[in-house]
Amino acid sequence: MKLFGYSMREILLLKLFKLGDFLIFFIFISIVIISLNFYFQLPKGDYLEISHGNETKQYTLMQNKTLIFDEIEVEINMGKAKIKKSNCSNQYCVMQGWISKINHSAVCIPNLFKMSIKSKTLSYDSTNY
Amino acid sequence: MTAQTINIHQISKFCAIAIILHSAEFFFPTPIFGIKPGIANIIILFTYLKFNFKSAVYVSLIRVFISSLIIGTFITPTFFISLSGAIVSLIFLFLCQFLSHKFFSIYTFSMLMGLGHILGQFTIVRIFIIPDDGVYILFPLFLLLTFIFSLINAFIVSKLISPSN
Repeated sequence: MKLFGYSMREILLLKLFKLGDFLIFFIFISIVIISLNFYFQLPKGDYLEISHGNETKQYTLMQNKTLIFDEIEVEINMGKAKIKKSNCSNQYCVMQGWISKINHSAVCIPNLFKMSIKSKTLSYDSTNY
Repeated sequence: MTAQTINIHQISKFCAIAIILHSAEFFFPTPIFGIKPGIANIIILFTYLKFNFKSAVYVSLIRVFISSLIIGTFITPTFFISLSGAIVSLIFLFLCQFLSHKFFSIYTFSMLMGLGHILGQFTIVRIFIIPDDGVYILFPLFLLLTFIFSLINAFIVSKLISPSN
């Protein structure tokens, strides 16, 4: 089988490339892998900060508990949290699912509700790598 | 005709091709908004190899301005994202000139241009359009796709530039 006049064997052996191209190739691949790694190895948070209306409260994450606010039900399950129920029309907040890493947050704009995960020691931004 | 007239004639021909590709790409259906193969970059790289860096700058910038007028995105956020990507990728192309042609082929040029393009776009998006660090979640995905598409583009350029054509 030939593609653009090159056989598959030639393409697989990368005869098209020069030496320096391999260098750039590997640098590029490693940037992708490092950036992915940073994202998946973020530290977990210590507590959950919930702001509803004008109030802001803090809850520990190391518990199994269901918190009920006026229209919203929040479930905390050993280090992670999610919005379980809401009365808003689009249900984007419910679809967001579990959050567990520092500075990740879930919001419900119609109900003026925001919850985000914080840490006592680390304050840097989770996605800023 | 003088040599300069021929040159302007050629550059405008390449501009026309680049504008068509850029405009056609805008209407291409994509699974995730904002992901495009960047086929207009084939023409930029081809112009650089056929003529010089100055011609590539002309083709790239004229393409961004004219195709945004055609699509109707002139002076909208889309236009500025496009322009910043084009400018940073041209800066990377300028730096590529100093690489040894013995070890680095157009694959390197294409990959670095793609990297420059994505860096320029992300900088503008982070500063002006979505001022939140959350945009970096998309960075690995865009980087990976840039890598794949720039290799494909470089392959097409290598076929266009080969002596048999």
